[in-house]
Amino acid sequence: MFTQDIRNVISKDISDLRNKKESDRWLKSSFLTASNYQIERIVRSGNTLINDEITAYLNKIVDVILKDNPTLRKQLNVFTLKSSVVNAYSFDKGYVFINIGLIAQAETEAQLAYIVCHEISHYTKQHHVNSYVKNAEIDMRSYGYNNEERVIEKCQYSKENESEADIEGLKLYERTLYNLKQAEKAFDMLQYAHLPFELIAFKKSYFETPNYILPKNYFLPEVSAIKDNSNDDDTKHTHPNTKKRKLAIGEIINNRDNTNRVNAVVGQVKFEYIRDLSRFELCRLYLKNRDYPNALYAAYIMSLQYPSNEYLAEVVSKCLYAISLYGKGEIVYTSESNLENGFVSYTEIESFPQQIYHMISKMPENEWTIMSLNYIYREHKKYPKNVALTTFSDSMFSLMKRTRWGINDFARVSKKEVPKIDSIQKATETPKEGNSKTDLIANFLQKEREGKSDDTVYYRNVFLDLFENDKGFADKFPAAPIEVTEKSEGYSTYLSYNYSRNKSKKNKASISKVVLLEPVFLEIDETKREEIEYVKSDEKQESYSQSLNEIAAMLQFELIALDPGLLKSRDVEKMNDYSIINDWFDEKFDTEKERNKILNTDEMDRVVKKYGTPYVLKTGIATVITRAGKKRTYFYGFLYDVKSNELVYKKYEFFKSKDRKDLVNAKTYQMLFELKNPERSK
Amino acid sequence: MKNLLKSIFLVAILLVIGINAGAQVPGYMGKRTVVGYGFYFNPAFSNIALDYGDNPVNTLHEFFLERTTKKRFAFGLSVRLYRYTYNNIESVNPTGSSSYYSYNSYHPTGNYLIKGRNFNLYGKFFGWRYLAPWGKYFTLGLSYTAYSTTYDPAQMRVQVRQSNGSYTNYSNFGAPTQTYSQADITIGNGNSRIFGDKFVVDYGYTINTLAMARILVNAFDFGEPILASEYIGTTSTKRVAAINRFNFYIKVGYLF
Repeated sequence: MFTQDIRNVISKDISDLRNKKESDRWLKSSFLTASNYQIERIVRSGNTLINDEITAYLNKIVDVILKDNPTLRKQLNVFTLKSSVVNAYSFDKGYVFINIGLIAQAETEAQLAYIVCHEISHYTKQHHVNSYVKNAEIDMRSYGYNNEERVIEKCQYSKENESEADIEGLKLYERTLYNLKQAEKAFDMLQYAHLPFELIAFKKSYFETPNYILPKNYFLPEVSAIKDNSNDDDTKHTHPNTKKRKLAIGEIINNRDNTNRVNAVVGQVKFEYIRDLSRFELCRLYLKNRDYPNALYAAYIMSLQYPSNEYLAEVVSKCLYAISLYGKGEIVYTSESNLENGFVSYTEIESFPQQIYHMISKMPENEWTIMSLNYIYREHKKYPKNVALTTFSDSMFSLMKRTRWGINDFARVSKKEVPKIDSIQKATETPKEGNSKTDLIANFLQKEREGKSDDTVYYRNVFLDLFENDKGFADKFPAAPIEVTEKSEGYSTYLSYNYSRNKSKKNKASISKVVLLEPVFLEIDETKREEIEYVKSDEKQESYSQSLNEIAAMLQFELIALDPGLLKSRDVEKMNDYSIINDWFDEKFDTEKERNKILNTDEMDRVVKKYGTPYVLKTGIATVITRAGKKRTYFYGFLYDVKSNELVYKKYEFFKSKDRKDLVNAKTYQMLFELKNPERSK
Repeated sequence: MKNLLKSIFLVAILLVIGINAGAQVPGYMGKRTVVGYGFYFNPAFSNIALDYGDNPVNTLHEFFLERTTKKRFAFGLSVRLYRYTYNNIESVNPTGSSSYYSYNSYHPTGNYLIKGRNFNLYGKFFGWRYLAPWGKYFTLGLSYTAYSTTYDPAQMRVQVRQSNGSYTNYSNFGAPTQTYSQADITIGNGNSRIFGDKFVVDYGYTINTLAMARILVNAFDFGEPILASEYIGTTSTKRVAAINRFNFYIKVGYLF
């Protein structure tokens, strides 16, 4: 099994606690239950890498750190979390999670090693459980405290723990051969974690071709400076500010001998390879979060190192396409999205990435479409077998129909020798004699309004070489722009609907085979401090899963269960499929728009083919005892056609009763019956 | 009448079993038929307070068959049985005379027996979240009540004082065994729960609307003595209405 036998683990932990006879054991036992389940959920979420090179590498670092302490080493389980956030976590029972975002940012293996040491110290000092107990105690105090004071006291305690983990971590770190200065440098890395993993000037030439030179006004002459927040007020922060942490560590290491210490023990080449892998994965994670500007910048940096990388071409193409859609209002962000308000304003961005945000903000959407088509089509020609690039390229032609320009608005035959880039740049960037700046702007805006282009418009010649040399391009290019009265088709349907408020939706065709994602059962008691009844939830989840299978068998309904709790270690492939489907849903639910396009989960086609069905069922039950002591049960079942990105069946109901067996069976049976017999279930 | 009743009952059974027999309706875990026993009861405080009868609770015993024919609809057939005595608490006018001051007793002595059977055909309309035969429902149906009364003339009589001061016994209340029938419309609400995917426990209440209306009308009847020939017919109608007007029930059944 990938995960622990959770109920046994909890029961053993609680029994150990009883034997210790500590006064706060009831709090600790509540913590242990919650903590074990949190770990279980993280590992089972599909958001951890499994059997992969990055995790293997992290484990090697841990081996190096704890080579003299095999007992502690055995207690530790290190996982890589698929998250772009620059962070690492340590849980009780020796579970350490390192985010991809952190590995991508690390400058040296030694920095990673120090952070791992810090997390190990959290574990050895039992900070997680102690913080839980302390926070509970603070919450239970009724006199002399207001909420703000409570927060400050909790933060203070957390900061003390962090400082202790810094110092204890350094003690572990000192026993290795790692460069001590890198421990100090790790805080610099964390300080600037909000910036991309490399800061390299973004050159507009990246999107330019000999016949296509972007105007300078889409780019800032100078990007904003990086702010120094290292000494910010940390009163209400869980961590001390980095200046304090760096100083504390600096004071210790200044007195230590740093000779013969190195930045990499496992290996510099290996580190750089792993970091690059993480950076590639980071591009994917940004895409998954629909954070296209960051994905674009990350891919841009990586493409400087790997100029002929097909994957990076795909990432950039997706970003360009997605930003085109965003400009046309086809991609929507809501309060539920990772980016709540869509793309951040360029004024809030520091340093070189600001250019990308500025370009997105200033370039009219139709011009963005032209630029995207130019880039994507050329990449598609470079990698003609890449299905995603082909699809995006075709979709860009569809989008071109929705610009103001048709084939006649672009130069298709060379009238004269195409000037060199420098001279074009000069021509477009230098005002003509006698034309004031405001005249030029007025002229430019007029042309925009008329939708006409002439030789002075910078994008007129953009496709010249393609029209001349690539018949396929000319054939695909829209003859004339369409009247944009309705949204047209593209990569997938552009139609977007608001979520229906109906609590149920019926499928039209009979469905008898679905992939079932881990069914959920949650028991919540709002009258208790720890509201989630973890053990009961787990037991009932198992029972619900069993009922589903029994009922499916009864109805001759094929349920292909992808349940990490039931998978064995040999089922890595299934676990990865589970992760892919979860990613698909993450992207799907990143907005309340029902039919937002899924751009970033390419592997879904493979999964659909493998399991022989495009239908994925998500179902679950939540039972709640409200603060007033009333019992409520919620049942849901959602069936998605992941191929057409459509919700084909929806059932969401609640009952003023507890989760009785007959309720669960009736609703489960009804759901599967209705899926199989849509016309007979009236 | 009996033959007609039998025919209706038979046709109804055939309908229950036959209609949709091959149709794929969900049912509960694919099961759609319930047979069982139901216990109906209603508080009968007036029995005790006014000495109409001896039981503080009126009870009926039911045997039923129900069949789910749609996702949220089931219909059923049942027969309810009951047996009661009436304590002859109502006044009687044995001679038909308008001056009845000379009666020695306003009430016949003893009591008479009522044996009743209600034949019910009803539909259960389950709420939109439920799946027949499981869940909360509203019920609507037709009820045909047939009952018989029996009295013993030797015990049930009225003494009338004659002008010469002597007493004469009157015990002619019609045929010793009389049969009556009436129809009604029933409505109600209930909740059906299922245990072990086999056993049904169904509880709720039911109202016989016409019987209820009759009770309300009778509330304005201030007790004019009833003619002896009509005595059993009139009082038994009231008594049967009181038994059927409103009932709580709990039913247990086997689901297959």
